[in-house]
Amino acid sequence: MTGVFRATWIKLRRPAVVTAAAVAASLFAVMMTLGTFFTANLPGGSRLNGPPLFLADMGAPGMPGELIDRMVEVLGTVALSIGAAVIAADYATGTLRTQLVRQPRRLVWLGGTALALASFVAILVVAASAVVLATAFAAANFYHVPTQEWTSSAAVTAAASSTGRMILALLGYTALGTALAMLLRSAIAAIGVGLVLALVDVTIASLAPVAKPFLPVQVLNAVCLGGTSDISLTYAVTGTVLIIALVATASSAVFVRRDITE
Amino acid sequence: MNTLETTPAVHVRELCKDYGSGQRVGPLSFTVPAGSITGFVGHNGAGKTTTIRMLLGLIAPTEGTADILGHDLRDRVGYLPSVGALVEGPTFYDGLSGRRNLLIHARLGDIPTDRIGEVLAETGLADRADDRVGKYSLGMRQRLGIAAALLPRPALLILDEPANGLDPQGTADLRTLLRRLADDGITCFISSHLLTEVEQLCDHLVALHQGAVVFEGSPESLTGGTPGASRIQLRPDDPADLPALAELVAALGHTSTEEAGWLHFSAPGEAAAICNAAAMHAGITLAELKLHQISLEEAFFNLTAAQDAPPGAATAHPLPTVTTGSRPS
Repeated sequence: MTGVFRATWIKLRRPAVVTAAAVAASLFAVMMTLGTFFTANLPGGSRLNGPPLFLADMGAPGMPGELIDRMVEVLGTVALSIGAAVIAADYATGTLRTQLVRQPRRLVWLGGTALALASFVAILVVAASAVVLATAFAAANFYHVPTQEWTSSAAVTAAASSTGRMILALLGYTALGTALAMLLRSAIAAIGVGLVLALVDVTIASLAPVAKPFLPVQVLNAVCLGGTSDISLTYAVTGTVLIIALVATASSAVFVRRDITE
Repeated sequence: MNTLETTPAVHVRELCKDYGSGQRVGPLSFTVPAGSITGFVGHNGAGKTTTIRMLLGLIAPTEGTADILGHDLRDRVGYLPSVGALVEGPTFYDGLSGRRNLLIHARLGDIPTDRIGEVLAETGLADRADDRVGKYSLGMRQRLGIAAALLPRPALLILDEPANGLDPQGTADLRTLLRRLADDGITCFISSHLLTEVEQLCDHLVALHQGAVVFEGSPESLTGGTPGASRIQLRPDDPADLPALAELVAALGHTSTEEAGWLHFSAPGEAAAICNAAAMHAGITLAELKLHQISLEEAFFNLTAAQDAPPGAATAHPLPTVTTGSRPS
């Protein structure tokens, strides 16, 4: 599996993949952070991906972590797209068949690829968190928000915890993207279906909040947010692990048996 | 002599893939002798690629099985590490160099990385190894595909249309490379629609038509051993001898046609000498005798046309003639 992991990293380090992922994550990180500061300065406060947040409260030590938490949906979309694009591209270009001749143990191929994708997404989350923090300090300076508390050990712990929970949540999104790509064998179709499913998930959640604990996107987001009023953190973490396990099992079952006709 | 030299590298038994909706390949049975260069020929859609996919474990057969390098087809983990393959054309990551693409293959197969330089040199790509594959010509991609196939030092090389995109020099180089690999004991199984290439290169042939094996044997046995193997034309010195000559040819078991003072018929090449002797014995002087040894391509077309034609229909394609003999004394 080490060989597959290292081989997948060669693919992931392609300039096109690194640039696309880095630009998307950084752009969203900057826009979301600036957007949060901008809307927090409005009378109703910022409601971007979370409960109302006012500029006056933004000097709190938990704020860097909170800003990272609010990135979950956009970074989740990026992670889903990366998972889908990497796997579907191997189907579409035919590189999958040559790889499976060289590594005929399909579960080993899948496991090594999944681990490489997971580590790539984890690095992306850490980088995006760094961009969020850098942008937040710049924006705080612009809006005259005090940042002394942001460098306290409590703030650093909260930010690290948020980053860790974000990684777990995004592994769920990546697993969903990967599974959809295996099913549909097309990056565009997989990303499209993934986004539609996320939209349906969000719509159902807003129409029937009682259903939130049973909706995958709500559970993944709840992990990152440290739990919500509808979903506890324990439930969210368990649910996320279950989602990843279920998706991995289903993907493996399909992948091991499926004819590689592309 | 090792085991592989005494047993076939590939032994396919009743292998079949049914895609449903009437699309079916097989049941196929054939062997690929160890150490041979075996050509796998057939029209587009005959089932060559499907068969190769089954042999490489990419698709599961509906029925039948095969032994590959002494392993059952289902034991792909047992035999694929010793198989090099180029399937359906070369596929690589355009954004990576040739060397990096081969590194992916080496990592996947736990192959020592110093092998990469060797196969790049072997396929004449050493100078361009660090260029992006996106900048490669089709011929260079094809050579990189062959380099990837050679990476694991295979005992069996399965190449799907390896000459595609190669210029004449590249094709000649490929021929030399494959011949050298075969001399080193590597079995080569080559799918191709370029029958002239196959004729020059292969010492064993498996011909596929509409999902079924229609011929297996040496190329010579296809061009020389089939009823339509040679086109023979006889012209008696005296046109009045034509009916008698036709009766003589018929007595030897050949069906001939008369045209402008000539007698035409298809038969194995040795029939020309037999007819010549028989005519001489019967007192018929031949003014001309023409023998055209058909090419593999023509033999293959005759073979597949014979499969397609309704019973009793003429199947041989019109052939150009080359004079190989003259009137008897």
